[in-house]
Amino acid sequence: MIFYLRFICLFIALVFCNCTQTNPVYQASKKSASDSSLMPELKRVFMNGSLEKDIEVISINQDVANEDLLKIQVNLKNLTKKPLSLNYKIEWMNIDGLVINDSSAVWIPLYIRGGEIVAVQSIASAPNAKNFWLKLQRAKR
Amino acid sequence: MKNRTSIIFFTILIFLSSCNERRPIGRAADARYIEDSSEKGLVNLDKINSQDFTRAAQSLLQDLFSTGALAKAPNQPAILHIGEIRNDTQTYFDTDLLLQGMKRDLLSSNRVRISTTEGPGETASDQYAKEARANINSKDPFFIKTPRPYFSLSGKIIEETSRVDKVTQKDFYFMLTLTEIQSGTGVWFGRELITKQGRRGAIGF
Repeated sequence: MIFYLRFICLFIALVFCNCTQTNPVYQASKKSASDSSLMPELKRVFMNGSLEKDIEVISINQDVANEDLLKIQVNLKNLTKKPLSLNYKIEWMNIDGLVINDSSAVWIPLYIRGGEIVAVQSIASAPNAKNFWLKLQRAKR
Repeated sequence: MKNRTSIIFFTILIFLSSCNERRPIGRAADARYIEDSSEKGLVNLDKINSQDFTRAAQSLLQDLFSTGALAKAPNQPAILHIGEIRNDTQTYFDTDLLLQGMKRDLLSSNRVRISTTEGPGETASDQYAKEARANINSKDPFFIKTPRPYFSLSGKIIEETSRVDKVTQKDFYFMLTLTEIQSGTGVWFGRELITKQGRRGAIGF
């Protein structure tokens, strides 16, 4: 009987160990694509996971580069005392919310020390880019 | 005893078929598609991976856009000539892996048009277009010379290796220069460094 109890515990532990490696994505964007103010209002999408407790998107600044390309700066803060290894990706969208297929849609590693505030910058490659999605994910290691 | 064996076998079966990520050892038939520049792509220490090319291209372009160098051309969009990008790394690759994405984004910025009929050493990326154009021009008595390229983009990719104990660090430098042809001076010097460190390659980052 004890063997079976031990076995069931081990079995459950093994299954849970294997299934808990989820890595949800945290997303942030401008609330309104037409908002051209220097510090636009944010829209955040939280997924279930620990990342939302560890990282905060403090604010977004926007400007224009090369005369007509939207430039953004996302200010992120590590809310913990431990360093965080993240990956981030920025996808640009036009005024209607359609994603623009450009080379910026690549996961980029980001290392934030405990309590540190970092600024992630990106410039759209097309003048019709008006909004963006910032996607954050915990790095593999 | 027989009961125990079947239970253990069942457990191992469940364990192996559970929802864990793929491991490189001891698993067969696990080929799958991954998205372009995915964080699940391979990370090799000895070569530049696809996500490295995309990341380098994106960073260099953003640096170029932030300087506003392209917007300073008197005629918009300016003609851009793509010069030689030298591969000074230990592995062979086609430099279009870096350039093609950059060309696409440069075009979509509406600041430049890219010449495909002129190239370094009289080579063109589209030889047919070059010959057809020469043919058209030779037959046209009112031939007006089209604007010459205003900018030229050239550069090189350099690899540096460092080792401490069993840890290897590879530094790949992507260095591009934008030259204003008329004045012969560089108007933008881009540098993107991609560093990878570790003992051996990995799946995902």
